[in-house]
Amino acid sequence: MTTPSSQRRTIWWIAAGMLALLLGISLTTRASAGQPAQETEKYCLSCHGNPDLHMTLPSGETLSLYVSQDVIKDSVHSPLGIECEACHTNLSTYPHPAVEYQNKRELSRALYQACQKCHSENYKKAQDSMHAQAATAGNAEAPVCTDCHGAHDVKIPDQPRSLISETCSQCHTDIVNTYKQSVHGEALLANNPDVPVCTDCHGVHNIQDPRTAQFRVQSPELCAGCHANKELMAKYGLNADVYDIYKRSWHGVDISVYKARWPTIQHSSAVCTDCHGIHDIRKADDPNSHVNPTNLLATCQKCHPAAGPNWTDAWTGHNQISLERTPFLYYVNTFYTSLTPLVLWACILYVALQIIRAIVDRVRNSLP
Amino acid sequence: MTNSTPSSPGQTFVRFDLLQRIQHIIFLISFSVLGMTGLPQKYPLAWASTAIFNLVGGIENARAIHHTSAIVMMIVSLVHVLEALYRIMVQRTPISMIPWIDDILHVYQDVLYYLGFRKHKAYYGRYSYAEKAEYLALIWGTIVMGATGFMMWNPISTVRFLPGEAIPAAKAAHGGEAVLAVLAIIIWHFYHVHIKHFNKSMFTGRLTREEMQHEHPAELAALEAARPTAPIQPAELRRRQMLYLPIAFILLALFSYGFYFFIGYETTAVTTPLLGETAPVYVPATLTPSPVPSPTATPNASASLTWNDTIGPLLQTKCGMCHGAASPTGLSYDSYANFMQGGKNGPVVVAGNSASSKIVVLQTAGGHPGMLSPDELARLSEWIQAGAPEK
Repeated sequence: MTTPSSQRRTIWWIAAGMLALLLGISLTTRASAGQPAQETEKYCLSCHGNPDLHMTLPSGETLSLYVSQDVIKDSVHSPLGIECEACHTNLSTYPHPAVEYQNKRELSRALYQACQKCHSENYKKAQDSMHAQAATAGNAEAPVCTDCHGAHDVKIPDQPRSLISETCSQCHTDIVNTYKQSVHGEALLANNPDVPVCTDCHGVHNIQDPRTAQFRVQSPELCAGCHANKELMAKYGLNADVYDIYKRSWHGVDISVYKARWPTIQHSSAVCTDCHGIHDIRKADDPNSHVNPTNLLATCQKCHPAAGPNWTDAWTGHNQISLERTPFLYYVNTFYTSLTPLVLWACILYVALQIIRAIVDRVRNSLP
Repeated sequence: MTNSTPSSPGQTFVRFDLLQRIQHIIFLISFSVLGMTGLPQKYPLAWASTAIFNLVGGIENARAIHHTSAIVMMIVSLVHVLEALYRIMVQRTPISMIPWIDDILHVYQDVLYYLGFRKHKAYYGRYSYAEKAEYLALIWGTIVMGATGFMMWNPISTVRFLPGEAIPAAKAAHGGEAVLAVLAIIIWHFYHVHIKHFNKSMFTGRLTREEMQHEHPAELAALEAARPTAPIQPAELRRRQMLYLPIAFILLALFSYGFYFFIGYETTAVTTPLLGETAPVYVPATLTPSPVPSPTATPNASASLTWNDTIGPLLQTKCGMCHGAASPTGLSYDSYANFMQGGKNGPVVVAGNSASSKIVVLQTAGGHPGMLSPDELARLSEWIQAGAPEK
């Protein structure tokens, strides 16, 4: 699949496609930029409206050449007058130039480059994504624009919002299925607009590898984007202090230091997802939640294997110190927050008294 | 410590012996290092903390240095306990570091003096109340920091015996005590020992008579008034030492075990598991199959081989999308007449000669956007060969 020769071939085809595209753009820019309405659709569909129209590629795959009038009509492009030739820049006349692609995937990987004609920003971003990196590494299956957005059937990607997760699930089925059962996924399916979909955490076009040290160390901030938002959290009766308190906790201190200074060095101090789960985050009172009191010790033991039953009470990371919840901690804390200023002010006053006396004495002695 | 001869102004008095001075230096170094590596952990994002983390190469290194310094401080503390015990048990030195009623009186007198109601300060003995307060604070602080530090160093073992809440409480106490101790040293100790009058006796071991007069007049008077005391008899000294040694040995053993426990007990508090998503990432959905050409019926073998019955419907179904009324090349299959007439490139059929008919040639060569099945092509050829009859 990814032998060096096939890689070279892929690269060659991509390069050839780019060249053809550039040529196409230079030849057609004047015509298409000024007048988006091309009215090529009717002409093309006179042949390509035939459901039987197909060809066989050198790989033996059958490529359907059928384009449904209904699909085109429902896409975002056709109603705006952006018709066939806007993308298929080399197919303005019949007979068409010979199809040079060996297989369907090669064809997709060449044709999607037409997207940058209009969507250059997002196209560039996508070239920086881990999907593009996978393609560079020789994985021809790595998605291109059309794999997520569709080709002839391009629609607004987040109408409804759950469509985004559906799109990702084409390749990430397991993860999206898990997500659908999470507190966020369930709410999304119930049309809640507040919960994150895949792209809210992973980004849209420049999707980065979430398994890197850098992503890990920045992930608490990602959660904080919503979970430190007082207004939003109040709506669901959630504590919006969790991130601030986490940053001062055992786990959070190290993560904050690493984020600030060594973001690319892997650090195993726990981030939000290590305890709460990643795609399977549930409410803490859900019996299946990793942080449900019945599962909490097992969750701690992932990193602290010798931890005993008292261990979970040592975690106060998300709660302000309170008399009701942690009385002993409350008293210790109150002792020091009262004693320290008391002692220090007493010291300061006493020292100040001595200094004043010393100055007065000196002045007095210097007088004749 | 006894001094029977009349004092001269240039005379010096031993204040701290070598062991005490060494203790002080090591303690002050470990204290400073603990403060400098500990406070950044309490305030990790302050600029000074970042500078220190950079200097030592990370928060883990700061923690390791902190732990090492803690062990050093514990060892100094042990030496001090053993030494103090020797003074008390064997030398029977007066316990001069513990605050007494005198000290309260001295505070009262000094406050009056500083406010201008008295002519002179209180007459301090061997240790002033300021020094005693600091010594007590040091003992209290060392015990609190040692105990809470141990709990945080070995949290899993600690919560076998204590409730989980002990760990955050230990952290609160350790941090609170640290701030208190560091600031108290800066305010109280620095003023009394460095600013008011730089007292070097902790490094030189001695005070001059003049300094004694200022700082410890009561002690000086006592020293100068005292009669020489007889040295301890060797037999008595041995007896006291024999009593002291087992106690010291037990203390030493307990502390040593404690250090061992401190350092090596909990080496598996944290493992580094494989964190992150473990689910398979690339699991493609079973995709909706792309549309495939619908199978075309094999031409009805029993129907007569004419345009009207067989060939017309076949070509109109398979080719009519392009070769209909709006054919781009003018070649239309919508009627027998149009088909026979051909398009702008001429006719495609030579009746009676299928091999010369363009439609057969093109279809045999392949590559046309619409292709007849081999079966259909055979029927078409047969029909042309037979003269391409309309009916």
